[in-house]
Amino acid sequence: MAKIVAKNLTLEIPLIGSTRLFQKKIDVQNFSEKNLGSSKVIRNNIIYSRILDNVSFECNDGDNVALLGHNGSGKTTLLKVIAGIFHSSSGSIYTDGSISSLLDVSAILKPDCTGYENIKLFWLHHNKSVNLNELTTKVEEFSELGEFLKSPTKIYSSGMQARLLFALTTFIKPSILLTDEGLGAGDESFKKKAKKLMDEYMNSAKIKIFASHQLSFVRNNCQKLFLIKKGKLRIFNDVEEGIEAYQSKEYNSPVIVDNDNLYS
Amino acid sequence: MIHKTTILSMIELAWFDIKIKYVRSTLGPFWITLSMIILIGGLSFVFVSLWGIPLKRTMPWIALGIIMWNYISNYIDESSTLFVDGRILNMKIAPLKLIMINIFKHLIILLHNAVVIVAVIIFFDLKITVNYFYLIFSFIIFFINSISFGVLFGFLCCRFRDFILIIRNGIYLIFLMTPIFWMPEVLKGNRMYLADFNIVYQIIQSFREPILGNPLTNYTITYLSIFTLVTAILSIIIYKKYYKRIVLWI
Repeated sequence: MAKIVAKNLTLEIPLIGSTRLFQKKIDVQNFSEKNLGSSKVIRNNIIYSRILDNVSFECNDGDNVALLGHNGSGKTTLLKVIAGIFHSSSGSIYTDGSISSLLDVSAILKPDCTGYENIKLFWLHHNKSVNLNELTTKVEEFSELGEFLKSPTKIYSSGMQARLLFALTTFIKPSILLTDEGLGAGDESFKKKAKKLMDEYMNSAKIKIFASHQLSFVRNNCQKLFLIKKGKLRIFNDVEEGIEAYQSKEYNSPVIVDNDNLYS
Repeated sequence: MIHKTTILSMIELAWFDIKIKYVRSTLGPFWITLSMIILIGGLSFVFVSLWGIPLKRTMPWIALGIIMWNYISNYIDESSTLFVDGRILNMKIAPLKLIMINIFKHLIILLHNAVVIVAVIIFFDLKITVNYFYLIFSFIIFFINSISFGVLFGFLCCRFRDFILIIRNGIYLIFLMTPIFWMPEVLKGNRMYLADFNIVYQIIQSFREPILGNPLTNYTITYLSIFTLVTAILSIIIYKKYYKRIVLWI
């Protein structure tokens, strides 16, 4: 049983340093008037970027949700709020079920450490909640990196790094799965091998939220669609309808979001 | 929240941080010990020549002072940039946990340096007395203050980046102004406040005096207890108020 309930989430991030000496000042008038980015709020002479604006939604068991939106619309931020990395400025979020504490495993890996050491690092960051031997064997077997696991990961090619990351990421199976821009994979033969593991990983999760730009993936895998623009969320229970809205002229035209009528 | 495996994994993460720094060097983390021996040797040599105080009195004083100072200065310096690198932007980790990892890291370095202290105790034949029990008190005070200062400096420096530079410059000044490698007896008249009201000096004294065979004075115990209580309360207030917001300041 997994559940996410968000009520009136608002997150404002202060743009610290915008008033400092010797720094190019942010132009308050022109800030974020275009399509990119989020709406601005000015309080006490500090510019706040309102990345999430009164977002409410509910996810239950079996929900496969696609999160669509332009760059800087707040997709990743919303995932981070669900994961508990960001705390909302107002509103509440309730989650029931295990969530991976990492959106991106590469954030904790150290390029100076060897493959084996990085596996251990990953294990330590999960408070030893899994079996280290099992994890190591699986990563060895799956990544096929062999002796390279004894070398620092900074000398790996990007494909090799992707294999290690993929093997680590899929080992821990949370019941609420949050993925940002998909998981990278290596060459063709690896992709085939990865497919099975990927399916296993996906099936173990009860709620899945994908932040993605790949419409084909969204069409095949999702039943629900969240469209986000400048921090405001629209929920579509029909994916096609959502994609249509995403591609519509209205969505892609620059609007001044301070006007709530246009997009709510 | 903090159970056994969590503390163990924090210590191991701290050990990782140290290991990376010395990767592919022959001596590894024992570079910490070696550089400390050289520093203490050099300073003692200068001091014996400058003041004419016998080596038996100078060297243990300097060794203990420098080693404790090394912990304090490096810890404060690293606390000030602890949150700036943005690790907490990508993973769910309580700020307190990062602070604890940092403390364990510097305690491990302190353990490496403790080899020098043991060597000094043996070489100069310092007697192990009943006063060693004071070290329990010292260590508790030391640990609580580490957490408090980690919170205070970590949060302050993350929000106001100027403080990173202020602290970095201040550390050097404090090193010279505190009786770490020189003795407070040379202070005259009202200059004694450099030692009496100096928290760094009092913390160092709380370790130095018992190992040199002297009891802690009532003044030191009272001063340290009150100071620790005040900073602990302050840091709890700051932490409760801002731990959710620190991720927005990066």
